[in-house]
Amino acid sequence: MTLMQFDVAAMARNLATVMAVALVLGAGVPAIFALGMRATTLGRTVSADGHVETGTMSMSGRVLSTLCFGVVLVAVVLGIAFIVAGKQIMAQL
Amino acid sequence: MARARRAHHFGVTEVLIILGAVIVVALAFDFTNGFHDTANAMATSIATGALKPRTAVGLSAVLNLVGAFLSIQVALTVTKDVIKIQDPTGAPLAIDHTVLLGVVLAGLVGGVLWNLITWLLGIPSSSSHALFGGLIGATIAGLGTSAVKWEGILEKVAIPAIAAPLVAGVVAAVGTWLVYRIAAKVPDHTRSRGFRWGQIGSASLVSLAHGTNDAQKTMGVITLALIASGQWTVAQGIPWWVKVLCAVAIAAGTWSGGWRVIRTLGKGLVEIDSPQGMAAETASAAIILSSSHAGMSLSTTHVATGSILGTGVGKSGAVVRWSVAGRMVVAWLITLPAAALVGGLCELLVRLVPGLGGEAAVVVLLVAASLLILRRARRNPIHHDNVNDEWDGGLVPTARPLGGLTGPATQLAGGAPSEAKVLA
Repeated sequence: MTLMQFDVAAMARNLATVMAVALVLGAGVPAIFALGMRATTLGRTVSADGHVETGTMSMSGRVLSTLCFGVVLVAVVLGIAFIVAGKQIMAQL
Repeated sequence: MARARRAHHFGVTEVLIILGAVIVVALAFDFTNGFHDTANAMATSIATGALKPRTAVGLSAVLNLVGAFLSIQVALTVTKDVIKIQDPTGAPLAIDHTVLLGVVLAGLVGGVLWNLITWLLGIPSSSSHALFGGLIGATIAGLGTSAVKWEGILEKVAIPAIAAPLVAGVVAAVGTWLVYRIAAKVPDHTRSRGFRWGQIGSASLVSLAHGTNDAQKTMGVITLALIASGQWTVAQGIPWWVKVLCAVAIAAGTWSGGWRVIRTLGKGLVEIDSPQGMAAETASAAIILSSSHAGMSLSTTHVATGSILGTGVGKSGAVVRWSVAGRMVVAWLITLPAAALVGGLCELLVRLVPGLGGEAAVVVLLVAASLLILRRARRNPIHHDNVNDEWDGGLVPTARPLGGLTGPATQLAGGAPSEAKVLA
């Protein structure tokens, strides 16, 4: 009796796709979020022990952090859209 | 190999009584599914203090409820991957419908009991594995091994179970490593505050995805039972009241907390900080969404556990309790066979006891075993107050002893086999 009646190669391909997409979104989104967090400290002075920050955010910090959080927000909205509409939306992409 | 079927034939009333039992037990399973899986989304947010415990389970419950209603895809063919009782449209195969209902009832009982046992021990085990295990065991006992799709079990259950935690672990580890590199210079309190928001957002996505995926399984099982008993047809989809009942049952289960599993995932496995929490939940959300798009059914539980382990690996100096992880893996391996054993024994009861006696005996067994487990859990309760206590080597916090700390519940999976024997 052969157990391998399903396409092992197709399954490996699927897994590789999941892994790639998940790396881009699953690791990328937190990384961009972290970048946004870091941007909020631009122009500010952080005390030696790393607890207190003084001064105001620089313009570049404002732009960069807004951009980063914006990208994260878009990713979240897309995520919800995928959950809600399931395969119907994704099939059209 | 076709086994002898039950000689007696039931009338309409008897069929309706069995159908009622199936629906009630299916909703009970849905409830355990909810409280077992709250941890997948919310354990990290509770552990880092991003959300208060009660708020976290409340949010998760609402999102599960919304998710259950939002699911557009119809899950009529929930059993088709592992057993042969449905055709590709979801219609029952030409099997005596009382036999089919008995198999579904026995299978559900196996799933519920295994979910309760693992909950008692605080182990995040897969509810889908418990359901499939119960159904497979009941099918073997009721219809023979030829009605089991072994290659389907390998492809849809066994291989994904190995792949899910590995993929999740790698993604979460990479995410955690990146986050700590990038945010290294952000002052501690700003970082914690910011990532807590990130955690809440990502955990909410996982909850919503869970509602759309898991509530559907119970909807599919109940609808199958309705079709088998002639109360519904495939073409009509899923009855609205089934949708409402299942959505409410899974949300109520989520709301009840499942604190034991939350404690193990949030405190037992890895000491979690908010950046790790966000990395873990985002990894989980990304994998659940991309895998369901690719047509793979990865268990939310396996993904979430792998993600949390991954964040421990990705942060230098983090504490990862590999012994706790090891016990979880053992529990995952025995989930399907253990649920199958209970499901199979229940199906034997259904077959051997004449009339409705078998079905009644199975339901009584379920209620008695559930009460036993609940009483056991009450001896060393985990609730929203002590869920975040320090992990001193066991599920039950020792800082505030509550009495009656003996028995398998203090040793996680260590007591699983004996407990299973007692109940079987």
